[in-house]
Amino acid sequence: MGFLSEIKVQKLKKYYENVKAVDGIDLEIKNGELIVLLGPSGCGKTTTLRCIAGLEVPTEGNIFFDDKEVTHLTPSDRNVGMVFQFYALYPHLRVRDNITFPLRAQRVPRSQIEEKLKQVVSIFQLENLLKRKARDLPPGDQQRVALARAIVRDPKVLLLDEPLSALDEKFREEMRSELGSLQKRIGITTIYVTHDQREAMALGDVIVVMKEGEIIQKGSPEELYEHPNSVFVGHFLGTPGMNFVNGQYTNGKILIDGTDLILPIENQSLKEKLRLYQEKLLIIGIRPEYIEIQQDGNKEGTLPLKVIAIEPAGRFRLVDFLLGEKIIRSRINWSFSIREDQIIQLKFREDKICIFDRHTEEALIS
Amino acid sequence: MLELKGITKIFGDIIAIQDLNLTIQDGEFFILLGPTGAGKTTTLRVTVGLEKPENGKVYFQGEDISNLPPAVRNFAFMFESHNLYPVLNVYDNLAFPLRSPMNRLPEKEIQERINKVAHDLHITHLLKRKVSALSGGEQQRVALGRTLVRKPNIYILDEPISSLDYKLREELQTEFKRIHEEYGITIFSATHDNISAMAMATRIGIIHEGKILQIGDPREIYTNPLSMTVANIIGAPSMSFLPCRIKKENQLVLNFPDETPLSVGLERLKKIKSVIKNEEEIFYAGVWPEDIQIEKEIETTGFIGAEVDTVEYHGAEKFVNISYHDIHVKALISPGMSYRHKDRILFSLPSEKIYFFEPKQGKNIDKLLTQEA
Repeated sequence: MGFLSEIKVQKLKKYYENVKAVDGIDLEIKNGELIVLLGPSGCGKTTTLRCIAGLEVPTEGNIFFDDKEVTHLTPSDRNVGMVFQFYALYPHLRVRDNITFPLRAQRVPRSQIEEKLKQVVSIFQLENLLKRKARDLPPGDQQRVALARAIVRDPKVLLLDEPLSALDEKFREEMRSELGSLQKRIGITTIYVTHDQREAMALGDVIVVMKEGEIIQKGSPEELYEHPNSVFVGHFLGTPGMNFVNGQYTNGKILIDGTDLILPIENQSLKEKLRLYQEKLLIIGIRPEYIEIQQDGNKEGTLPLKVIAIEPAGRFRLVDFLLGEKIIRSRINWSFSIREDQIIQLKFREDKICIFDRHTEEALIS
Repeated sequence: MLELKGITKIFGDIIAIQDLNLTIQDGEFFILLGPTGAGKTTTLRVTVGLEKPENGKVYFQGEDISNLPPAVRNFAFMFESHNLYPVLNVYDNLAFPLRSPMNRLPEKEIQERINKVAHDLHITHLLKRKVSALSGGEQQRVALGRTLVRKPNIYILDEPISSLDYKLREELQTEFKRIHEEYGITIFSATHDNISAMAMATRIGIIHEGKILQIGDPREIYTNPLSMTVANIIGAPSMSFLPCRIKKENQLVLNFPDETPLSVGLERLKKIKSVIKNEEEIFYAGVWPEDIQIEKEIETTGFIGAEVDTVEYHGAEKFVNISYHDIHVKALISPGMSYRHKDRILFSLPSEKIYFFEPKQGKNIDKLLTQEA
């Protein structure tokens, strides 16, 4: 199927009266890539997608498919396949008629329709459902039909707006794997909009984190997760997000605000970097899985913290500790026995500590 | 103590719940977990008294309350959509249940209760704001606050957080847990979200097609699922199921052309054979993603060669979806490992970590035997 395409978005702005829905974003999406626009509601991700689809006319900026400018083309002239949260199938039509609808509307010859139908039906394993009416299908199958209909016309790109968020938790997980596998097999360039960071990390080749109409950070899921450029990204990615404590660096150690606790730093390269920020007001970021229990009884360099809550999560537990007035969450496996109110010696993995400026909340070291 | 005994509820020709039995102790945070249509909401509505069951009784502290109207039962009920009054401010919304003609409290006491709850839920600064001006998460806190100002016998919460953004859910699930402990209240809740259920509940009841399949604390259910359906509902992410069969009396093999043997030991094989009597009968080996072992290059005996379909990054964890013949196997891999679509991969199933399920109802074979014994 020949639907590969590169997309370029330049200085895109979309204003509604005095609301800046999208405020100057640049994007480049490569052939066959799956890019996720991620952010809380109101961040501008859906508006961006709608501009790329041609459903909104940008206030400013340009959009290119390959080298052709499409900024002012209608959606049908752009040849994109779209799927939304609510699948907008024709409930009274059979699955086969739903899928072939866009082809019939374009008056594609019947023999070609049959051939295309056969192709997508085998991709989505819909052989047994063709004669059923759309309204009689369970939600997951309906979404599969909607996807089949979106790609039956050989669109250049696939645009997905929260396609799974109407589904049950368990089912979402299944459909997510299925969708990821499908996108890789077909190799279609895809833009995926979601507020669910778990979905974004599981599916995306590239994640673009948005907030208030702007791009905060873009990169591979691992880059963003391990090296967030701001407190916002550190908090937003991860289940649960990164822990943050206020502190200051002086002579080889971090003093934690509001406590008499000291975090000595041994890692030379981290020390070097921190030296630049002596006496500055800092935020120390650490992910739950990089907080480790010191088991050998050696208290040097550890923080003695009290367990305040334990949440089981299947193969691991989330254990909450009290640090000053803040709750620190850690991921701990089942091999230690832990109870509430116990004091435990904890170590932060120094190679995984992120340091942010307390004033701008931007990363200094990450 | 709340007891549901032999409850059956039928809507038209659909049996919503069937002969359901459940006991919830005082102070528990009990969550019914199951997919849409499993009968969760119906069970809660029967408990509160909004539905009259065809069969069965509801007891509270030993007393039969089946025929009491909802108001007399004094259970606080919070739905997924929270029915706040958008034009009223937060204070008046919180005061609403305390000003109802049936059990009106003096304004001074109302104020005291609201101040305490607002403080505990961190919404004191919102008291004068209109509900329509609040964010989704703030509204959900107010809705919870409105159930907390009352002093009901039990709190019944139907999908209290699943309509919220994931980040907010995380926050609120911690909040619910904290409030449950601080107030020492009894909560009976229902959700389809396995992660939040495991995080909040003291005990979980797995419900499917109107029946309770298993009750236990989250860890117990995760490590000892009674059936494939239970494993599917509790798993995050799912357990993988591989077809297998008994070959030539004393060998257990995966049911694929390569017939990879699974060495389970004679004792266990004997037990399995007492349930799977027919050689050639196909049953299932279930494995959690974290129990599957992965090798990258070196061929090691006991490892099975297959192909990578996709890699799913979850932040703290990374999973690989393996294509093996016509099935998918999901395995947890260490964060340093990287794979691409179509890469070769080797995996093995450590026999002590395998759960075996019989083919008819998907029941856990080991548990089947302990129950019978």
